[in-house]
Amino acid sequence: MERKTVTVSQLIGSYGITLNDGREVYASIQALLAQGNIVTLNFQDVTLFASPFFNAAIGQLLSEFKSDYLNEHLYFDNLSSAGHGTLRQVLKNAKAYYNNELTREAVDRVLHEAAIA
Amino acid sequence: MEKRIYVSTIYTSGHLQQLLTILNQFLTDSNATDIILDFSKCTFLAQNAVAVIGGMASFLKLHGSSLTLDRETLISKININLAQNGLLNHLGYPHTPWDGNSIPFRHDLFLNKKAIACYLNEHWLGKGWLNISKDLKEHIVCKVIEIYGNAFDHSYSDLGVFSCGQYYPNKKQLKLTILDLGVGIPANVRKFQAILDLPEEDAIKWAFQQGNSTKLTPKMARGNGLEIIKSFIQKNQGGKLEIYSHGGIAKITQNNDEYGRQDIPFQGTIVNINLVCDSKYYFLDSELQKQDQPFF
Repeated sequence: MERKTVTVSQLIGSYGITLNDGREVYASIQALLAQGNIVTLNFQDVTLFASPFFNAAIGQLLSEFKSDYLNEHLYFDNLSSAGHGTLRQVLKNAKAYYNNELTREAVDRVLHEAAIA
Repeated sequence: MEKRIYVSTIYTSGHLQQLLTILNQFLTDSNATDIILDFSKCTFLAQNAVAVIGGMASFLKLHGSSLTLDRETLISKININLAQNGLLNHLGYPHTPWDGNSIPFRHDLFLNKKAIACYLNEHWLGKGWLNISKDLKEHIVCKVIEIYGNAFDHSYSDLGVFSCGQYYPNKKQLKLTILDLGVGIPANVRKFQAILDLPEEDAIKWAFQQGNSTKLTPKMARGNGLEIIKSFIQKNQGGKLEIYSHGGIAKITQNNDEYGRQDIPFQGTIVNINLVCDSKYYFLDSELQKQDQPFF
């Protein structure tokens, strides 16, 4: 287990807005977390945040990792007050989603039907 | 064929409805019509009208028609404002917009993050007319960028997004209108729920609920955007959010949220945001939360 720091601005620049921005960040931390590392996401110089970014970057980690594990292994540095607020709202929604098996099954079913249509 | 439309004085969304009603008749008419806007009855043109006129001009151009202004009928202060904010340039008139007290008209064909962030920070919030902290400014921009993201993500419009702002010094109000001419919220929700006759008001109310999204992504929770903006408006004083989308209406204030329908639907989505320009009316999320509280 090691301590790793990922500088978000080096991945996406100053704006964390879209799903694709979030996917870049997710791709850089998912494996580190799976290996048991303690990861710090440094948001220095990231000045603008929107919910799709956090849904893809952070929210979807809850599909693979338990809340307790993420609380112990993922930390945020230099996250602005605005980013902090948006992240908390995204995680509140994500926790409700991942804790609700019926919702997830319904989403998977619709996606599957769309894929085979 | 040319058709002259008389534009009345437009301050509010109610005034704008008159213009939208007339324009809708032409937009839904299969016979393309060139439109001339006559301003002889107009003494003020709010930012919502500027965004709509810009959007309609692009729509008509795409369909082989045109929208022109009868500039002889424009009073001087509106003429100068439209030149300065860039609408005349967008309509093809040889006027280069300049930096002044008006908030520019903007047309984006894609989510240009840097340019839109600059627009909101420098041209909308950053003119020195707001008594707000850097922190609050960032909060506001983060909420508004959700609206741009929604417009590009859900409208399915080739025409992009049109926006314009306005500052009202006497009321200390700052307004922004963001417009797309896409499929609209009711159609997206009806398709997603497979309920073709779902009433507009029910569709738009559904879209505001946390966790509801018409876009599904494997392994990912979505559906935060509108709820985040609504929550911001409701935690602070004096702000207002209005959405008009293909017959559906949502009006959000600190103490109320109401959802309804309009008889003559506008063929697009208009989002109006009104903010009061003073920090004392705002109470930021982070102040409510313990910073050391676990995230997950």
